Amino acid sequence: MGAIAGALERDAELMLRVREGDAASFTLLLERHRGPVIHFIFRMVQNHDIAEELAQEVFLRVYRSRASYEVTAKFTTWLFRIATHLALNWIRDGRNEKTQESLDGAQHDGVGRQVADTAPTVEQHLLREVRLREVRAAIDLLPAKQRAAVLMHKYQEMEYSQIAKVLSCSESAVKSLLFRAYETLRSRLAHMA
Amino acid sequence: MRCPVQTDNAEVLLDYCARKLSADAATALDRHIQSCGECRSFAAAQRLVWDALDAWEEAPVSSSFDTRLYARIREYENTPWWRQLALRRLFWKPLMPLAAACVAGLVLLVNIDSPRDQAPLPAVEAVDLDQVERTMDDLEMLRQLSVVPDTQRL
Ligand SMILES: [Zn+2]
Repeated sequence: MGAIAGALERDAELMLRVREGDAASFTLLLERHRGPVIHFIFRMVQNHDIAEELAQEVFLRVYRSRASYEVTAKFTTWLFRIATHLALNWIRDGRNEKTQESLDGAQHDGVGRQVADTAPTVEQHLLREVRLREVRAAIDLLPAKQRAAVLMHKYQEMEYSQIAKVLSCSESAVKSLLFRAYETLRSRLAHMA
Repeated sequence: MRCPVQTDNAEVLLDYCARKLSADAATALDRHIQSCGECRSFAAAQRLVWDALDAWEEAPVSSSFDTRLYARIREYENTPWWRQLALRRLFWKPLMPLAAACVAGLVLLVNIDSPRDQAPLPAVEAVDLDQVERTMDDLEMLRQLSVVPDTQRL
């Protein structure tokens, strides 16, 4: 808990330094959060190029807003609210219709890296690809807000209270979103047992 | 313990499968699950989903990501201040009521000038409204992010 609080203070401290014009602090913030933001948006929109483009917009907005930054929320809550807002808008505007990457393409999913690291057999590799494709398809079929909640809960390991702040809703609404989302995933992925 | 499924408290089972429960709570639920078929099958299915989602690993980030971002920041820094305000959309905030009034006036004029049997122009109006809505969304987000403390909103 102390380590988490320390990390939070560190982010806020860095952002306050950015506000004072310290470029090195912005670089540190970017290094700490670039990966999580891109991965989150990628899982939302399922297109790597779009995810990086939207993540650029996230960090650009952080930079533009530096002068008005106040430590009123966790830095990551603020960051993920911008990221979620941009991803939801992109999905809402239907811009994913023709740009979604083929679910067959695994070059952006770490599958290729796994092969190099552990050298599984061809069968194991194919099985992993099939499972990955099914997971991606199941996530993609979730309503966008449920998808965001699941991704923050599973991959960002956020508490219900923080997800609620990111999505600007109550904690009970988050629990309800997650419950429905996991219910759908349980039925869609049951055959993977 | 009371059955989480029967008492609408299934999030405990979500936390259990995410391994987020305290040791004591997990042990109590373990004991309950051994005697409750409903919770046992819920937990088994949920754990399967939880583990399946692990298959989606993080992808590498493009090596040019930072370079591209800093280029955009430099471009932003080199734009005149009034363009920066427009980009941040803060400039529009005081003008929004005026803009809304202009749009309303324009719509009224078009309606007065058009003969009754002439087809209206819904496409143009729809695009404008969509743009206004998107701008309002962005403004609302900036307002929430920059001004209102979390404690006041929740
Ligand atoms: Zn039970």
